Amino acid sequence: MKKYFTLQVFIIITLIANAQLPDDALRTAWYTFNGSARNMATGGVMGSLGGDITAAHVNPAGIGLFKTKEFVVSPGFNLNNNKFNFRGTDTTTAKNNFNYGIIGVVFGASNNPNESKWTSSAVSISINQLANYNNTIRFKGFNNFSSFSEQYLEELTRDGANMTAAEQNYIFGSSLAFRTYLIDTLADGAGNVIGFQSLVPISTGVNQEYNENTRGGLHEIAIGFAGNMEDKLYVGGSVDIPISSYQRDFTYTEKDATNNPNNDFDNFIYTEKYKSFGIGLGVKLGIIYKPQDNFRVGFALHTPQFMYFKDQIRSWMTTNTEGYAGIKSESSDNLNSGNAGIRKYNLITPWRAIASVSYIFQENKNIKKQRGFISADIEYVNYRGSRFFVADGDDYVGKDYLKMVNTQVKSYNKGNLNIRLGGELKFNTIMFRLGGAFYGSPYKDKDLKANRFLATAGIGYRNHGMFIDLAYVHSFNKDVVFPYRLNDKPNTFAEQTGSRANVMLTVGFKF
Amino acid sequence: MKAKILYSLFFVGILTSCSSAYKSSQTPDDVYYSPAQENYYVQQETTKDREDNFLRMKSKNNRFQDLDDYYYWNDTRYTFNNCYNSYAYNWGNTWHSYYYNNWNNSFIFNSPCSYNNNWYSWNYNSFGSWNNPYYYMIPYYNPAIVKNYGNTKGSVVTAYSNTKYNNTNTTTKSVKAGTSSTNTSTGFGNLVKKVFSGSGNNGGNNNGNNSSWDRPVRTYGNNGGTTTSGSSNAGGRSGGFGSTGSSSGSSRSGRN
Repeated sequence: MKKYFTLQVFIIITLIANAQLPDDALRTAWYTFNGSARNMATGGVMGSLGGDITAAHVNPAGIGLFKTKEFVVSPGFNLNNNKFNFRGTDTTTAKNNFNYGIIGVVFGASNNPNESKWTSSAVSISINQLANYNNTIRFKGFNNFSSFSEQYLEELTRDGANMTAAEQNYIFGSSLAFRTYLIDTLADGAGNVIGFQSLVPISTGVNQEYNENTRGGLHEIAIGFAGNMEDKLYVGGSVDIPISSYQRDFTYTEKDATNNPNNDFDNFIYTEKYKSFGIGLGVKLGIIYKPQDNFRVGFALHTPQFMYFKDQIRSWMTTNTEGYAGIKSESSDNLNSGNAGIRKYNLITPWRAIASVSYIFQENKNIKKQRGFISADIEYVNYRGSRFFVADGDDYVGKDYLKMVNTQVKSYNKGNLNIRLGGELKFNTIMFRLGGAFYGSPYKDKDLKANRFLATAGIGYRNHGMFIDLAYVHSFNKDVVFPYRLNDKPNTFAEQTGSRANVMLTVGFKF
Repeated sequence: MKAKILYSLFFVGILTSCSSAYKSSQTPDDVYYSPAQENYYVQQETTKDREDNFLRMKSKNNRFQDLDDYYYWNDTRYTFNNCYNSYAYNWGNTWHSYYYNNWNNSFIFNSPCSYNNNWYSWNYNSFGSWNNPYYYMIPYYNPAIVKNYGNTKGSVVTAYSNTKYNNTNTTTKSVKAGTSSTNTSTGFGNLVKKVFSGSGNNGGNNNGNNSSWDRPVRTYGNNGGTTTSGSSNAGGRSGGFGSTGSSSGSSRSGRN
């Protein structure tokens, strides 16, 4: 009985682990702008412009320009078109989905000039979707250099796992591979286990296929406050509640590239269902100053957001090793009493800073004389500043593990600049808008080409106490996707290009 | 369904009524110029307005003829509204005008005494306790415990440091069984094991081609491994999450 109890405790202790990776940190950091249709049509500029509720999520001082009240709602639609090149093979995918921009209300009001030096004040409450995770990543290609299964070999040998550990302590990955004979022990001439081998015949090659379907988004609720001092200086802040919802259905297969039925390998399929939910708190601060009429400069600082996450994972693997062990299947559910694997942790997102200038053509009360504006933002995001922390202070295994992850985040990512430029031409009640933006790579390694270039356009109508804006944003994306990573061999990755088209409609009411 | 329609109509009605203020006038565009809303000027009586009204009433209606001078009755030194002379004068004055004049809030907000007193007590009673040094908790960590509790090398994580890449295949796709391995020529020969068909690995029948291929292998001693033999204490990754079950204690099934 005592022995049985000891075994149970041992198993539970050794399975308490974490799998956060630097990629997870970027999910809450590397995203492009989103907001009202007007903001999106003008390249996302909002660092110094103000007068749009989107400012609560960019530079809260911008809501200080409101002396009126308005309510906005912004439904939208995404069209993803991805292209992948993996080891010389091209693949395309498409996925469309609904999304939304900013929804909220702003209350602006003038103060009594005899009683306060603040000319007006404004408060707002809004929700905005910062990132949309709905997408399909799928690519395939022939590979005679490395195999997905090698990551399991590395893991087991580097950890010094014996057969018992390989069977029991890696139930969401290596143990599935070991139990289905995708990998097996490696013995020397005397029969002693000296390591592990994969059954994949790598020299004759395998056809690899990566299929990932993601859903969800990163949403942010912002409660903004701002004051306007003599229509010259605007100071604002917002308290933000980021909410992350992410789901990933992942299937990866490797198939023997030969027709040889006697090489002990036909195929394997690894399937994973992963869910992540996070909620947190952050602060944004900003100022806008008008050194002269029609000219605005702005600065905003987004403090790191503190987020709590709870993730769940379930894994399956089926392997056909032909005459070696036949077709074998195993699942984490089977090895975990039917339960999903759970991890809880905290994440501190990177800080970002925005500097901006705007020029307004005719800052006039009479809207018939208002002619347009042009604005530019430059934003720095410290992508290498993300940090993971254990949610349970007594989880010492997790602490050590997350130290490794944080070290990799610092060395793998870098801070980079995002540039946004946009403008509007206004003809009484009709407005025409154009803009563009460039988001630099978050990766330190120059061989990993990643960036996002966005071209934007839109129209707007404002009359009778309401306004309707329509925006189109075409994002040209470049990124890399690693199907797996190895320590001791060169890694392989798919080069991702393609685009995302985003159509956004904003309807607003003044009251 | 009916309820949904009613809610929708109610919502549209609210929005329509909300925007009615600007239906007959220009709709302000706050990006360019945000006008102060009219209710501020309508409801905010300046001292001059009040004086004018007083004089007007006095001249038009005999009942006001006997009233004394306006400034006497409105001298702040004698006002009953003493709370405005308190420490919180500026707070009360600012917020009072803000809510009353522009947001049309209810009378209770215009009671400066209760309003100011609430803030006063709130600050001192609630926030005061937070600043009490006796409430500070000093976190304590035992460095001897924190270190060396991990039992995984985190190979999936450390692999992010590997910045060497290979995105091209060294041979054509239709590699036939029996051809020699190409991997050995890339310098990774120690990471593969040559397997011969029918050579005792239960790999199947030998077609008489003496076919062979390479399998990826890793041994304990090479490539970052620190041990030369396995241990059952290893573990903790491979997408590893916290586990609540115990059925992983079973052994894997045997080969066919």
